Amino acid sequence: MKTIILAALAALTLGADGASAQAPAYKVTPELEAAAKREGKLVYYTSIDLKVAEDLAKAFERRYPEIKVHVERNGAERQFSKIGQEYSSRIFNVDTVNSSDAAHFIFWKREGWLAPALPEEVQRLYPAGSFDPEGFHAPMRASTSVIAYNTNLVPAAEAPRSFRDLLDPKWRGKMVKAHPGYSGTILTATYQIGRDVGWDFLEKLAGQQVMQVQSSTEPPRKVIAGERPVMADGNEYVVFLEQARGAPIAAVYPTEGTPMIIGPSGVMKNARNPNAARLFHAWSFSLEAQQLAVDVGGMRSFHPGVKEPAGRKPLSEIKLMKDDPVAVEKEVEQIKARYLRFFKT
Amino acid sequence: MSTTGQGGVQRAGAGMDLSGPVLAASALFLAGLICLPIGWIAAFAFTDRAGAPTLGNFRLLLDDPTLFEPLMTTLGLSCSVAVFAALSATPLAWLVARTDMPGRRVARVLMTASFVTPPFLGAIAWEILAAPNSGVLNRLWRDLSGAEDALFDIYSFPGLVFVISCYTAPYVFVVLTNALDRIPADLEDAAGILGAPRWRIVVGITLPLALPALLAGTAVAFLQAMTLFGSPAILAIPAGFHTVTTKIYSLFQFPPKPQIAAAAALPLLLVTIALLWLQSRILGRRGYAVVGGKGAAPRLVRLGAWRWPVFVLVFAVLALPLFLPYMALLKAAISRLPAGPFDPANMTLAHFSFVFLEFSQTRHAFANTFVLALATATAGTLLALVVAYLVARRTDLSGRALEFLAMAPIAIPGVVLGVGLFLAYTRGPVVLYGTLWILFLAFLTIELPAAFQQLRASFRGLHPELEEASRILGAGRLETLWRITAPLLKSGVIAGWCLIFIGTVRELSAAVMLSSSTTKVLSVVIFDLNEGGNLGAIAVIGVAMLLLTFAVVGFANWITGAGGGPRPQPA
Amino acid sequence: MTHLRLEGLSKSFGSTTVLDAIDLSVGQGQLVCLLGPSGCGKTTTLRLIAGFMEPSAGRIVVGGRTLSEPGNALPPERRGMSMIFQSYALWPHMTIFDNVAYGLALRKMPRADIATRVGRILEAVKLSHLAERYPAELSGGQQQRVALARALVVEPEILLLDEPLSNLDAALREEMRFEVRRLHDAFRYTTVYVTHDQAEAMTTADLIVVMNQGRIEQAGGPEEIYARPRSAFVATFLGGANILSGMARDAQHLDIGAATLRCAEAGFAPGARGAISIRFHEVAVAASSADGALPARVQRQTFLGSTRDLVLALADGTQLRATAPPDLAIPGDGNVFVTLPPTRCRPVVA
Repeated sequence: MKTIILAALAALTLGADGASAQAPAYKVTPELEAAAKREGKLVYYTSIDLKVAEDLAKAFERRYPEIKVHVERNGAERQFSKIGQEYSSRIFNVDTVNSSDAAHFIFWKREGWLAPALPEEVQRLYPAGSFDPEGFHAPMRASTSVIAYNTNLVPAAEAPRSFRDLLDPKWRGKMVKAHPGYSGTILTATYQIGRDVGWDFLEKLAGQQVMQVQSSTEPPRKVIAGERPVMADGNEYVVFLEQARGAPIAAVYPTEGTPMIIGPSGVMKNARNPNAARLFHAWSFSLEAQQLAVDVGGMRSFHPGVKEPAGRKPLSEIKLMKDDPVAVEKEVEQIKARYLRFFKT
Repeated sequence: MSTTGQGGVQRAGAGMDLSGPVLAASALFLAGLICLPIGWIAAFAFTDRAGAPTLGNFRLLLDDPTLFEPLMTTLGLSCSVAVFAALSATPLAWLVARTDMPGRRVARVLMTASFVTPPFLGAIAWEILAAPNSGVLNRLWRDLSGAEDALFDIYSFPGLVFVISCYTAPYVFVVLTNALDRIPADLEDAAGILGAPRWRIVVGITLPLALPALLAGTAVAFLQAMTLFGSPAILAIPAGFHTVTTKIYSLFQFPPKPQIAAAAALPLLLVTIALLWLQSRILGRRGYAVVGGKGAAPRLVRLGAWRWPVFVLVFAVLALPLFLPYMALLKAAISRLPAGPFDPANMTLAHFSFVFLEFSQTRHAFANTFVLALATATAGTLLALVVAYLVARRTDLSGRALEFLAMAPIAIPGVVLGVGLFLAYTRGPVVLYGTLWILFLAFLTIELPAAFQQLRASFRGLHPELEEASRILGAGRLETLWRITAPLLKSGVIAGWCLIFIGTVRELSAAVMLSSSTTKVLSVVIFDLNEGGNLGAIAVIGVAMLLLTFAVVGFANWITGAGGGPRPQPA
Repeated sequence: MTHLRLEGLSKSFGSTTVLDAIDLSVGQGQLVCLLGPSGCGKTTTLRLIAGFMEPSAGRIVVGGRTLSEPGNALPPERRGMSMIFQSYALWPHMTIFDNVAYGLALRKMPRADIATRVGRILEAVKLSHLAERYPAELSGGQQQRVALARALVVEPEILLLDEPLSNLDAALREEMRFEVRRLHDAFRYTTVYVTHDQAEAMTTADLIVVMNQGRIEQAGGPEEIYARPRSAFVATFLGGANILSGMARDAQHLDIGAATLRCAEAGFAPGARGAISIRFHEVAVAASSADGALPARVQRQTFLGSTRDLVLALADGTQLRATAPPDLAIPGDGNVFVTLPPTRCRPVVA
C-alpha cells in the first residue's frame, strides 16, 4: 500500500524545492499549549465537509476548552478566492487552513503566505514525501473522486466500471457531476482524468446531457435522491457517509484509475493566533483527529495508526491516479477554459 | 385675552438649530454610502489588471461568447419574468381588490407571505418538487400517468423563469392592489352610466387607471430578475447556462477577474437607467392624480356564480409560490431523505437537533441576521425618511441628485455591490471587513431604494403646509419631521421599515461576498448548506426564518397600529 | 408705530423675478391685506415674512430687529409668528385640542396652563364642544376656526393668513370675513392677510396693498384706494372701472378720440399719453342729449334687478361700461347720451 501512495504523492515532493533543507519539526510542548491558551481562539478555514469540520473543532475544544475554534467552511475554490481577496486587502483573518486543492498550497507557499509548521508527529509517522519537507504543508486528509450509482435504480451488474463506460448512450441524461470552477476536488480530478483518460473523454461526456452541480459533495446526494442514477465524479467520503446511513449508493473505482485528491493543511505566516494555530495544526494530524476524520468524515488518512472502518475498499486495492498539484496550479486557467467550452457553464 | 395677559406666551425655538447640520450630514452620508462602492466598481471596469485605463474589459464582454451569452440570457430572463409576473399578478390583484371573491383577505396575506420567502429558498424547495427525476411532483406524475418523461424540469430556462416569477409577482401584486384600492368608484360609475358593460369598465377604466402601478411593479419585477443571484445559482448551473450574476460570481473564482466582472455589471446599470427613464416618460404624460384622490370608496364587483370557481383558481395559483414549496420544505425538515416516501421509517428529528444543537453557526447566524435586519430597517427608514424629505422639499438640482443617489443601488446586482463594498471597506481609512458593519452598510445600500420609493410616494401625498404650520408655531425642522411628518407618514414609514427588514433577511448576493465565519447570516448559511446538499437543515432554518420574519413584521405593524383615534388620509 | 417693515424686498428664482424691491411699513396691531391676482408676488411676500424663503435682496425688519436678509434668515420657528394656511394644514392625526395645544406644548408650558388657554381660545372661536374630535370630522368652517385658534393661542408677534377663506363656500366665506375682523379687533395682532378677493380685503383690512407683477401698485386704506386708485390696474382690480386712454392736451384734459375729457384734478403731462379711470356707476346715461354729453350706442344690456348693466360704444367705437338705474328707458334704436363728470374722471397710470 505504501508504495502506491508514495507514487501518488511523488509530485508533491517534486513540487517542493528539493534542494532546501529539512525544516525542524515542532512538538506540542507545555509552552506551546500555554501560549495557545493565552490566545484563546483560532480561525480555521477549511473546505472539508461541514459536519466533519464542526466535529473536529468540537473534539479540539473538548481537549482544550480554553481555545475556541472559529470554523469557516467554504468550497475549496471559494475559500481560495476569499483568502486571496482578504490578503490583497491585508486582512489576516485566517490562522490555519485546510483545502481539498493541493495546488492552492503551491500558490500560497510561493506568495510567502504560509509559515513553516511541521508537526513532529507528521515527520515521525507520515510517509516521507507525503508532506512538504520545508514544513509549509502536510496531508491532513485525502480522498478520491469516484463514480457512483444508485443501487435501487441500477443493478450492480449494469453499473459502469470505467470512465469510458459512461459514454454509453444508456447513461445519456442520467448522470450528474460537480464543477471544477467551484470545487477543488473536481478541479484536481478533472486534471487527472484529462491527463490519464483524455480530454476527448470529457468532451464526449459533455455530450451526454450531464446535470451540472457545483460542489463535489452534491453529486452523491443527487444520486441518492434519485435525481440522476449515476454520478461521473464526486466525493468518495460522502458516499461512505451516506452508505453508513443506509442510503442506496455504491462507489465504483474505474478501471482507468481513480483520481486521488490530497487535502493538505498549513499555518499562515500572518496568523493572528500563531500558537493556537500551530497547536490545532499539530493536533489535526494526531491519531485522534485522523481517526475522527476517517470515521466521521469518510476520509483517507496517511497516519499509520488509523484503522479503516469495515466495508470500505482499502486504498491498497485501488488503482490511483497520480496527484500533481504543481501541474494543476500551472494549468488551472486552461482546465477551466476547456471545461467551459465543453460543458457551457 | 391680550398679549400681555397671563404673563404672555414665551417664544419657542430658542435652542440651537441642528437641522442644517443633520440634513447635510445625512446627504453626505448617502453620497458616501453610494459613491464609494460604485466608484470602485467603475474604477475597476475601466482599468486592466495592471491598473492602466482601458476599454478592453468591454471589448472582451462583446467578443467572448462565454461572457456575451449570459448577458443575453439575463435580458431574456428578465423580460420573461416581467411579463409572466405582470400577467399572473394583474388578475389576482383585481380579484382580491375589486371583487367579492371569498377569502380575499387571506389571499392578500398569503401573497405577502410569498414576498417574505427568500427566492433562493423557493428555488431549493422547487428543486425538491420538480427536479426531473427525484422531484415529488414529477414522481407523482409518473406514478399516475405511467409516463416516462418528467412533467416539468425545474433545471431549465422556463423553470428558472417560473421560480423567479413566483417570488417577484408579489411586488406587482402589492403595488397593484394598493392602487386598485384607491380608485374611486365614481370614475367607474361614470362609465357605467354611459352604458358600458362590466368587463368594459374593468378593461377600459379600472386597469388603465392602475397602469402606472402595474408598470412600476413590472419594472421592479424586471430589475429583480435581472439582479437576482441565488435562484440562478441553484437552478441555472445544473441546467447548463449562466446568467450575468452567476457569471460575475464565477469571475471571482480563482484567478479572480474583478475588472471584467465590473464591466459585466455596467450593461445592467444602463438597462436600469433606460427602464426608469421610460417609466417616468410614460407616467409623466398623463395626469394620474386621481389615484389617491378623494371620492367614493371602491365598490366590489359581484362575481355571482363564479365566486367559488374563482376562489379555487386563486388558491391553486397561491399553491405555486407558497403551499407546495412550504410543504416540500416541511417534509424535508422531518425526512431522512428529502425526496423519500412519506412514512414513519423516513421520519427524523435529526435535522432539528443538527440545526439547533450541533451546528455552531445557527445561533450566530440567527442572531446576526435579526440584529442586522432590525438595525438596517431602522437606520434605513430614518435615512430614507430624511432623503425623501429633502427630495420632496427641494425641487432644485441637489434634490434630483439626492434622488438619483438613493435610487442608484437598484441597478447594481448585489454580487457586484458586494465587491464594491469589499473594495471600499477593506482598505483605509475605514476597514470594516469581517465585522457586521460591512454587512450593515451593504444591506443599507441595497435596501434603501425600496424604502425611499415608498416614502417619496408618501411625501407626495403630504401637503407641505402641514409641516410649515408646525414650523411657524415654533418647531424646528427635525422636530417637525419627528412630531408631524413621521406620524402622518406612519403607514409609509412602517411599510418602508418592513420592506427593508424583509429585504435584509432574504438578501444573499452581497452577503455571500462579505460575510465571514463570525458574521454569517442565515441566507449564506442556507447557501452553504445547499452546496453540501443538506436539504433537511435548509428546510428547518428556512421555515424558522420565515416564522421569525412574520413575527417581527406582525409585531411592528401591531405596536405602531395600537395607538387610538382615526387616522384619516391627509387632505 | 411701525412694527413690520419690508425694505427693498426682492425674490428671484433663477432669472425670474417674483418680487421686485417692495417697501412696506405695517403699524403695530394693523391688519394689512396683500391683494392681487395670482402670480403677483403676494404669497411670496408672505412666505418671506414667515421665513419659509430667504430674500434675494432687501430686508425684513420686525420691531427694529432684522429677521431676513440675503444669506441670513431666521428660521420660521424662531420668529414668534403664526400662520393660517389655505389648506388649514390641520394635522389629521391629532385631536382639535392637540392641534391647538401644539404651539403651547412647544413652548414647554405647564399642562394646566395649556388646558386653560386652549379652552379659552376654543371658546372664543365657539368650538369648545369639539375639542376631542379629529379634523376630518369637522366641517370646512369649523376647520377654519380651528386653524384660527391654533394660530392665535400662541399669542404671535405677527399673524399671517394665506388666502384663508378661499376653500369655503360663498355664504360661509362672508360670515368668516367678519369673524376674522372680529377676532382681530379682539386680539389686535399685527396681521398680514393675503387674498385675491377684493371684498375680503375691503371687509377686513386696515391697510390694503395692491400688488401686481411683483410690485406694489398702491397701498392705503380701503376707502382711499377705492376712491383714488393710482393706476389703471388698481382701478380695475378693485371695484372695476373704465380705463380710457389718449393724448394729454394739458394737465387736466385728455383726448380719447371720441372726445376730450376733463378731469377735476391735474395729473397729465401735456403732450404725453395718459389714461382716465371712471367707475361704471359714475358714468351717467340718459336717453336725451344734455350739455357736454357724448352720443353712444348700447351694445348689450343686462337687467340685474337693482341696476341695469350696459355696454356702450362711443362714436369712434371706444367701449364703455356703465351701471344705470333699472328704470332707465333706452330708446329702440339704442342711441343714448353719456356724461363723464370731471370730478369722477381720475388721471391714472396706464
